[in-house]
Amino acid sequence: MKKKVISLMLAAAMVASLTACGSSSSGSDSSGSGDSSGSGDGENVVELWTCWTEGAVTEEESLKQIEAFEEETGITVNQTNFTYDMLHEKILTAAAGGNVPDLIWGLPEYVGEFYNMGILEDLTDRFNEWEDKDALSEAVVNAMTIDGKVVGIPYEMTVRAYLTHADDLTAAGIEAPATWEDLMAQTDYYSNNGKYLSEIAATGVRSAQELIVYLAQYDLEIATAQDDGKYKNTWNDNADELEKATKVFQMYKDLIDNGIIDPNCANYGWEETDENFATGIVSSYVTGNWLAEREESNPDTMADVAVNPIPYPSDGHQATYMECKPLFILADSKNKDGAFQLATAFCSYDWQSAAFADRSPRSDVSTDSKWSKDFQALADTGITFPPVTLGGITQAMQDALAMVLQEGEDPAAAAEWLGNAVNDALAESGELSE
Amino acid sequence: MKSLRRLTRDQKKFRTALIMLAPALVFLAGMIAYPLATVIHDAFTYRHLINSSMTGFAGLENFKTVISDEHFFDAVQHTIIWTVFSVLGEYIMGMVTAVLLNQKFKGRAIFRTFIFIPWLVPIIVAGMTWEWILNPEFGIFNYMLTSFGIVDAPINFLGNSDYALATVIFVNIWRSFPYYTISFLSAMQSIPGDLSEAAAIDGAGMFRRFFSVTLPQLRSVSLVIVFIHVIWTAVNYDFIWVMTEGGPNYATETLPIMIYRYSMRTFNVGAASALSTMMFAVMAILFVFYYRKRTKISEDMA
Repeated sequence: MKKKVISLMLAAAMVASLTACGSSSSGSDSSGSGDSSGSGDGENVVELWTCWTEGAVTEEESLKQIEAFEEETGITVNQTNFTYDMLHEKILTAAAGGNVPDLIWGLPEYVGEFYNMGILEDLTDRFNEWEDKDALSEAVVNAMTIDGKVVGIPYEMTVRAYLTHADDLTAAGIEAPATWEDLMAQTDYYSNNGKYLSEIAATGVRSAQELIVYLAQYDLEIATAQDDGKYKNTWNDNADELEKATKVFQMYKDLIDNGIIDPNCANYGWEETDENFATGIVSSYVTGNWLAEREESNPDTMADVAVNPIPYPSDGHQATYMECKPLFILADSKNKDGAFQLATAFCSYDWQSAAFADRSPRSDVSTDSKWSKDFQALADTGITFPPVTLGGITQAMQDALAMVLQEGEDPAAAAEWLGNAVNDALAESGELSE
Repeated sequence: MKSLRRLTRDQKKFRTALIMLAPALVFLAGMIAYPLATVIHDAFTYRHLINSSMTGFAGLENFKTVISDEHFFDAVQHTIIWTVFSVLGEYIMGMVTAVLLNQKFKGRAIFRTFIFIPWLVPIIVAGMTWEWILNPEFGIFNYMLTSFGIVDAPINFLGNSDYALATVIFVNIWRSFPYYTISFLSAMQSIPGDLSEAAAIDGAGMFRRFFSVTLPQLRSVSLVIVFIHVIWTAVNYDFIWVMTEGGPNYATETLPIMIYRYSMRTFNVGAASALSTMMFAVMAILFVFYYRKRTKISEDMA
C-alpha cells in the first residue's frame, strides 16, 4: 500500500511538473504577452525585445523612457535585450511555437522574411490614425511598408558613410578618396604608413549590406520587382548588368591585390571591421553613425573621424545603404493596443531626442553633430534591400564574395553565379517571378 | 475492484513497476519520442517556414535536396575529420595527463584541480576567448609568434581555410581533454598496485607496464568515454558556430551546422529534418556497435 501511495505521488508530481511547464509557457504568453483583457491578475503587460548596446546612451535613456511610459499608461513593460542575431533566431522559434512577445526591435532585412512567414501584424489602420505620423518622411514610411501594408514603426534610421581618420590621411598627404579609382591609386599607403587605408566586411550580414551599395552605384539590384509582384535577379538576362556586377566583384579583388585592404578582410564581419576602425588599426571604413558611441570608449582614436560619401565608380554614382529599423508587433500578440502605444512612444519626439538624437527616423529630430547632419546629408542616395526573404540571398552574396576573395575565382564567374543563386533562393521561398 | 484482487504477485509487481516508471515514460514520450517522431515525419514532408506552397508528402525529395547540395559531401568529410581528430586528440592528451597525474609528486592535488579548468569553461566563453587570442590583428598568440620571429606575418588561424578546421579541433581538444583525464585517473586508481609491481619484478619496463597492465584495465572506461565523445562531438554545433560559423567559405561546416543553415537561414525545415534523420540513423548504428562491443567486454570480464 505504501509503495502504491509513493508511486502515485511520484506520478502525480511528474504530471504536475509537466503541466506546470506547459502552463508556464502559456502563462507567460498571456501575462508576458500582456493580455489586455487581463492575465491572471488583470495586469496590462507588453513583452518587449530590444537589441540595444548595453551601457550605451540609447539603453540608459530608453530605460528612463520606459519607466515614464509605464507611469503614464499603467502598462507594464517586460523588456529583454538580445543581439540582433539572437533575437532573429529566438523569434523564429517563438513564432513556430506560437509563444511570441508583443513588440520587437528588428532590422530592415527581416521585413520581407517575417511578412512572408505571416507573423507580423498589419498596422496600416493604426498607423493612419496615429497623429504623429507626419513626422516621418515618405522614404521612411515606404521602408515600413510591404504589399501596401504598414508592418512596422521606425525606431532608428541610419545611413552608411565613408568614415576616415582625418589625421591619418593628413599625415599621408592625401584627401579622402571620392571614387574607386582614388582608392585604388593608394597602392603605397600601407608601406608608407604601416596600416591599411581601408577595409571591408566579407562575412555576416554587413558584407551583404556593403555589397548592395556598390551594386547600387551601378544601378544594379540584387532582386528586381517584376510585373507579377514577384522578384528576380536579372543580371544573367542582361549583358550590361552582368558586366557591371562583374566590375563590382573586380573592385573587391583589386582592393586586396592593390594592397588597399588587409587580405584578412576576406573573413571579417562587422565585429572586426568596426573594432579595427574605432581603435585606429585602419584609416577608413564604410560604416554607420553608431560608432559615435565609440568616442567614449576610444577617445584618442575616434577624435579625428571625418564623415564622407562612400567612394563610387567614376562611371557610376553615389549610393549608400539606408537602414530604417522597424519595431514589429507580432500577429499573435495578445496586447496589440499596448504594443502599438509603446511602439509609437519609441518614435515620439521626446524618446527619439533622448535616445536616438543622431539617428532618428523623424524629420524633426537631429543634432548639429557630424554623426547626425553629415550622415543625414547622404540620405538622398540611400537604398535598401528588396522586401523578400533574405536569408538565402545574403548567404549567396557572402558566398560570391568568398569565391572572389578566398578562392581566387574570376569576378565574372562570381557575378554570374550570384545571379543564379539569388534566383534559386527566391524560388525556394516562393518569391521568384516566372 | 474484483479483478484487481485476482492479480498474482508477479502481476502486482509488474503493475507497481509500471506505475513507478510512468513518470519517466511520460517524460521520455513528451521530450524525446514526440520531437524525434516529428523530425522523422518532417523529413518525408515538404515543410518550409516561408514558402506556404511547399506542403504534402515529399517521399525522398528532402533527402535528394540534401545529398545534391554542393556542400553536403564536404560537410560529411569535415564532420568525420572533426570527430575523429577531436576524440583522438582528447584521448591521447587525456591519457598522457592522467598517467602524469597518477604519479606521486609535490603539488599533485593542485595540478589535478587546475587541469579540470578548461572543461569548466562554458563553450561560448572558451570559443570567443580563443577567437580573440587567435585574432590576426590584436590576438596575443599572433603577437607572440611575430614578436619571437617565429612567423613574419600574423596567421589568420580561423579565417584561412587551410588552418580553420585544424584550429577549431585544437580548441575543442583543449577544452574537452580534462574530462578524459579525470575519467582515466579515477580508473587508474582502481587498478591494484600489485599488478604493476609484479610486472616490474618480472622485468617489465615503464612502457611495457603501461601497455600490458594499465591500458588493458582501461578498456572498459575507454570504450564508454570514446563512444560518448564520438556522439557528442559529431553532433556538436555550438563550438564551431561560435568560432567560425562554419566558415571561412564552408571550410569548417559540419552536418549540424548544415542542419542549422537549412532550418534557420533558408527555412527549409523538411531538408533540415531529412539531414537530422540521416545523422540519427548513423548515430543509431554507432550505438548498436557500441552496445555489442560493451556486451562482449562485460562477458570477457565475467
